[in-house]
Amino acid sequence: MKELAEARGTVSQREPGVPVPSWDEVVQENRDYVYRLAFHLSGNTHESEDLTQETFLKAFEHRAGFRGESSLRTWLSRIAVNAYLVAKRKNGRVRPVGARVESMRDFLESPEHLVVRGEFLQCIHYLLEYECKPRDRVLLVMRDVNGLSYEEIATVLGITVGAVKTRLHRARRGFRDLLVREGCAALVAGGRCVCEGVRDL
Amino acid sequence: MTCAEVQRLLSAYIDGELDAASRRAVDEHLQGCEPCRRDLVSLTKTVKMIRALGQIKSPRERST
Repeated sequence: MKELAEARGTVSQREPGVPVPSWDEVVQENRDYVYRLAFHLSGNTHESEDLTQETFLKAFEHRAGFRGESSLRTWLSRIAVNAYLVAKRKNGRVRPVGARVESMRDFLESPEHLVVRGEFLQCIHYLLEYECKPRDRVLLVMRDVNGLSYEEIATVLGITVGAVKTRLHRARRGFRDLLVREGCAALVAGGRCVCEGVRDL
Repeated sequence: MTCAEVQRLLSAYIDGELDAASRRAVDEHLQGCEPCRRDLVSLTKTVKMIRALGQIKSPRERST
């Protein structure tokens, strides 16, 4: 595999004298991170595989453009987010009948649902995937699900930290309004939601 | 600070992203403003709910 000689940022993050990582090493080190971001952006396993593959393909094609001005992960995040937004613009998303059940099947088969109630996650996941605008979803996933800092998000989106604050706040308020519209019991007195997970919050 | 000004800052307040002066100003306003306190509570619950998705491991993470 070709050496990633152009990816000086990865070198600058390492101790002096540490050899430049191969492309294989770059993929190996960041694959789980990119997949996790893609998984929460796309909301399903099939699209997240495609998005992860596309992210590394584009990163490899444009590796010469990486100057180490941000971390490698931030750069990969930017590629993944752009690929996601382009795909959404191109294909949109058709809400399938029974989407709440279908989209959460993988999650509900996991042991995590024993810790965090499946009904609650299903509700949040559904609203994020099908009711949230893609640009809002990107912000909520980066900040609240994947824990990126405001500075990292600003770099990924190519906007100021002040703009991140404004847009994130708008996205969160919008999401809260969705929950209220759904009658979420955590937010609406007498809400019809029977989710135990929400009630625990 | 007015209610509108405080409410615009609540998201950054929750994330600890306000400078000390802004945070103090928001704290002072919240002490005497019930509607803004309610706004903060509902926004905080919303953030917690979204963050809970982060507890879900992707299928690939579960298999490792």
